[in-house]
Amino acid sequence: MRTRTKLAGGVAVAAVAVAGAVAILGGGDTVSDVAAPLGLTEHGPFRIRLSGPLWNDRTLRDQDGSRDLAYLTRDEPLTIAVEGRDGARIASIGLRVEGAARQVLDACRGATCPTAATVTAHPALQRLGHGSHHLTVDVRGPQADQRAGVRMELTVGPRLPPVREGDPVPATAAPPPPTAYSADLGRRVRALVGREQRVGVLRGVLGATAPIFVQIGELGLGGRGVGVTALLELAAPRRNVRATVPGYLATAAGYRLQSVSFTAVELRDLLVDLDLRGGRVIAAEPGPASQTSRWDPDQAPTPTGAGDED
Amino acid sequence: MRGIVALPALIAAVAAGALPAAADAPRRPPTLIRLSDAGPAFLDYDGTPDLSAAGRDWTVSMIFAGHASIRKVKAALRTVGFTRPGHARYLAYRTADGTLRFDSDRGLKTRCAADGTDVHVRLYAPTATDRFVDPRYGSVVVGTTHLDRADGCSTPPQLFGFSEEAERRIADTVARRLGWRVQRNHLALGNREPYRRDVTDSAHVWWNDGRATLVVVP
Repeated sequence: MRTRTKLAGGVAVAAVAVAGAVAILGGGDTVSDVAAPLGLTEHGPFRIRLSGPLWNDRTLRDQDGSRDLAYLTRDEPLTIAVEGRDGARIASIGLRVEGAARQVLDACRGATCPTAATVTAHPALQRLGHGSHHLTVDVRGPQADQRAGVRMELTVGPRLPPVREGDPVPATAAPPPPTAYSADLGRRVRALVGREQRVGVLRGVLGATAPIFVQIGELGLGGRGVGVTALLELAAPRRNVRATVPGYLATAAGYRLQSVSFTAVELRDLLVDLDLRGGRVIAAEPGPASQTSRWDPDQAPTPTGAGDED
Repeated sequence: MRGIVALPALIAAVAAGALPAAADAPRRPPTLIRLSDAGPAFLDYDGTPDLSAAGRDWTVSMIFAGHASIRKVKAALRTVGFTRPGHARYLAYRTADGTLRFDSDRGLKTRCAADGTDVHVRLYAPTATDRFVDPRYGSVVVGTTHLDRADGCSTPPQLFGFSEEAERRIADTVARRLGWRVQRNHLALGNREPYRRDVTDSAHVWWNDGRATLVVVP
């Protein structure tokens, strides 16, 4: 039964002061992080239920600690409903944003404090700037040991641009579309690789047997097509291949060639990049099915961009 | 982390005269897609927690449906060798009230094989429910797939991508070892990425046929 009689103070709080630092509830108090969809926690003497837009937009964490977030682009209301358990009465409901003093949302000033209360707050989170922030709701009873709290994580962020929305995706039994390169291009690439295999930079790499062209695709340079990248599979794996092949470094003007010496314990596949403007191989790299034991570029690490991937 | 360029790294790249990797973007703008008319919407690429083309990492290429949940699919994959975590990326999705959210996941990776390559799958669904709910496909989890070569093991060159090949390997494992029903290349998601790479970010190798494999989780 809701016996709210008189909790003084504003029902709606427009802003939470951010000056000053107060430790989140002292020792022995209960503060729980809430990730449950219902927003309900039952700790100590109080049952606290959170709801409203701010609650819906909170940041969640999964079992691995990975986030599921929505960006707060404006200050949103948070509704806090509190019930005393086993007859516990509510002396005050407070709110604290990280590093700020506790803001009292509602406090009991009568002789008899209520056993249930609901307030709505508008925490001023935008002023904290973009990033992850924590907000704590705490409830206190008339006695010093009657305290409980709930902590939420929120992410203030940018307003997102409109995103393209597609039609529902169809199920299909049709085969995927074929690789989109012309027969002429395919012939040209095979001819270039064949030449390099016979008398050029791939001579010591591919051996005498023609490789299988698994894929042929575009080699871009800052988004502009300059050639072809091909995934080759050797007809038979080659062992203990020692070779020096071209590689490249990206530069403002395009790329700069370098040499890479490598040893492949077992070479099964090879990525080959061709600059069609000059009709030459500019890189050759053992692929994901090949086992290497040495990879020594003479100038800088290659392939490019390898350090920021996974 | 791809798409998030730390300031020192950016300064170093500019000083070195390197071109930005932003050119290595998807073929078409990232798009919110749905599996059915009344189904939930999710982006067709994972990546940074935004909607930029430059921040996209890999294509969605596997859909776990039926009775899928993140917890259930991950538990099953762990039993067949996907035991290591990778680096986290995000997938955007729209909630019932229209809010756009970003779910992150580190995914699961196999151990490095002798060739230095592992298979990496990231799985996404709303954390609050651990699954999407689609009226046609049931409880749904969406996945991006790729290979990592020399990522913390083996000798370079480091290579990342080949999503189509990763999708094939995972589908094989799920069908053979878990006994789950697999329909290869069944859903035309529209996120086709022909085999290609860019000089500015040549470790990132795009390859996806735009058809996601549908796995029915019992």
